Amino acid sequence: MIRPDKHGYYGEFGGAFIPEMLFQNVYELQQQYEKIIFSDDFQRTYQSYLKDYVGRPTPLYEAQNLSQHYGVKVWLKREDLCHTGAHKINNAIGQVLLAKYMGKQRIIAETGAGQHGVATATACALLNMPCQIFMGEKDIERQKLNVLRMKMLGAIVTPASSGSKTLKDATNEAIRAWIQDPQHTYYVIGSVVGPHPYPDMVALFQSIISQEIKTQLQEKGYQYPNYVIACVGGGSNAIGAFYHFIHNPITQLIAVEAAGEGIHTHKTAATITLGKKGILHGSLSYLIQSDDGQIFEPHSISAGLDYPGIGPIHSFLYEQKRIQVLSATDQEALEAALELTRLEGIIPALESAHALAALKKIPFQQNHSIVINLSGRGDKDMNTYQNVFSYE
Amino acid sequence: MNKLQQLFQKKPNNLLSIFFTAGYPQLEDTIPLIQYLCKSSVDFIEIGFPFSDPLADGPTIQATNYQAIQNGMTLSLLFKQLSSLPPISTPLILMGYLNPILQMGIPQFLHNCSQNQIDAIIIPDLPFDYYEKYFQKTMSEYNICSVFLVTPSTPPDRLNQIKQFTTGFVYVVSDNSITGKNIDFQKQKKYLENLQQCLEGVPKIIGFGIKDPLSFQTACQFANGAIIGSAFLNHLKNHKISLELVQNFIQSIRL
Repeated sequence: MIRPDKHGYYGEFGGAFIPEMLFQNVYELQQQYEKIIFSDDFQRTYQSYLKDYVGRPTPLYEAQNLSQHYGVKVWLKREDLCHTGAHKINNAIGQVLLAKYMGKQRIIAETGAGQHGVATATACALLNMPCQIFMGEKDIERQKLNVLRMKMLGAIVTPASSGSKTLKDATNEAIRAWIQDPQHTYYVIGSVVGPHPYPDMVALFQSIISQEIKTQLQEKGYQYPNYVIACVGGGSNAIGAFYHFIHNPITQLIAVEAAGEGIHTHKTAATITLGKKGILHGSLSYLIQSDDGQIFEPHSISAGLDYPGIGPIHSFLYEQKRIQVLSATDQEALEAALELTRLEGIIPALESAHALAALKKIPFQQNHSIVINLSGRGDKDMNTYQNVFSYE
Repeated sequence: MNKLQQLFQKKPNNLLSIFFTAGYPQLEDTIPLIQYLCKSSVDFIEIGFPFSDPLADGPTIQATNYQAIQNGMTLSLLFKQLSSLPPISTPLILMGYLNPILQMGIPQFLHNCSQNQIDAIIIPDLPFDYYEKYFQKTMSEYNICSVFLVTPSTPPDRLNQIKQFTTGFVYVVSDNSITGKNIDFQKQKKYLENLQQCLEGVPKIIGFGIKDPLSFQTACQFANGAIIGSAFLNHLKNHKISLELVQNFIQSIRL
């Protein structure tokens, strides 16, 4: 468990660095979110959707072939089996439901890989809310299937054509849209980023992942895992997988960043490895930026990790030396994706493949048990896989 | 009292301020633009330093920020340029987002402001607790004024806080909007009249959506003056800057 102080800080990270135009929106949310989401009524509805609609608990699968290959016990937390294909739905349903409780009439969201966009559009279809998704022009191109899904679900998909035309700019556009309709619009942020209370709220909604892992391991006769490994862009699946292990020092928490073409190139999204403290999208955290404080355009083959910042909770846990940060290149992620596909018959999302790539980087002992959060499935990445592996 | 505070005493009405982005259209346009604006009898000047992710800004100022960064503008270069500016009587205000300031270091930033004729600073994403902790004391020592924004959705108790913190003027955002949109004064009449009461005695300048003589004059009925940004930057677009170009714009506003 980890919660911010009353101003939304985790140590020096987090906070709410927002222009005045957003103050009322954010303040309203800060005042209301805990009251609503911890209420019995909300929890009953939310938990019932998680169980019967999302398909939770997701399996904790002992990947025997992968285990044998690496000589350690590897468990996969199958978030890829969630409805819509990734963990993003846990948070999307929670926030759209919260918006309903708050009496909001319209939902907006940003999306990178499209998973959060699809999850939000799905929750909006389910809960009957109009939905507008902002998506970078470049991501619209490389995640066509998800764009079609969002449209079929009834969402308006608005291209973000400013800046690097990816997740960062989609987020800027969503915030600008929110500024212009503070009263009726609710902004569903998809990761543990943004001004307080978003990081806390998204972490709470995703913490179901580690809650289940803990129970499922105990059912299988294991007290705790030696390692929990997850990929990080903004960091929502990672915090979900880490949450209930944070205060258990025996479990090592490994966050894998996207190194893109390599951390020594300019084409990377390895935020903690290369970043400096700064402010983006309303919170203080590590960012990849110039000496002058201009945010760099990140690069990763995986659109979901293509973000120049990271959630303030992760920056805090990193400074506390509670999480270890590794990075995996585009190439390493692709190899790990193919390996899992061939060994286990599971095609992972490119994002999750970064977590799998860490198996080659950690000096495990034979009796170690490792949990990898398989945050999403690879359907949306078939174009990329096809181009790289050139199947006919 | 600094130049800005003196201005509000001397001339309480119809103040015209112009905002431009440093390093736009060309990297070296900063100093000439300030001088042309002074000669065009603008009352005070707002210099924006660029940021890659200007959340509160519309397409025009996003584009000038982008172009200025492409041109090589940085906060340190801006201070270097300003150090070559001969003393001027027109108040200068620096405006920009917090991240470039954090990277320079807040004490260094404030010191640079004090050395380069800056009378006030506006940082749209600066929270009160940060202002109190890291800015307030030093700014007061350097005689640099603080400016805070209010919007139609700023709650009453926050207005009081803003009133207390303000040593320069209150930047009245005309609508729940990003920069460069049209303003509907009829819709905002109640909000603007309420501010006249709640912020009595504090100078108020209206910004966002001011672009022509009518919007400028209307704004001046509710406040001490108005700031024009996007419309001025659109006027500069695709031009080589000159005194004539700047004067034409100012005259078109003041009629």
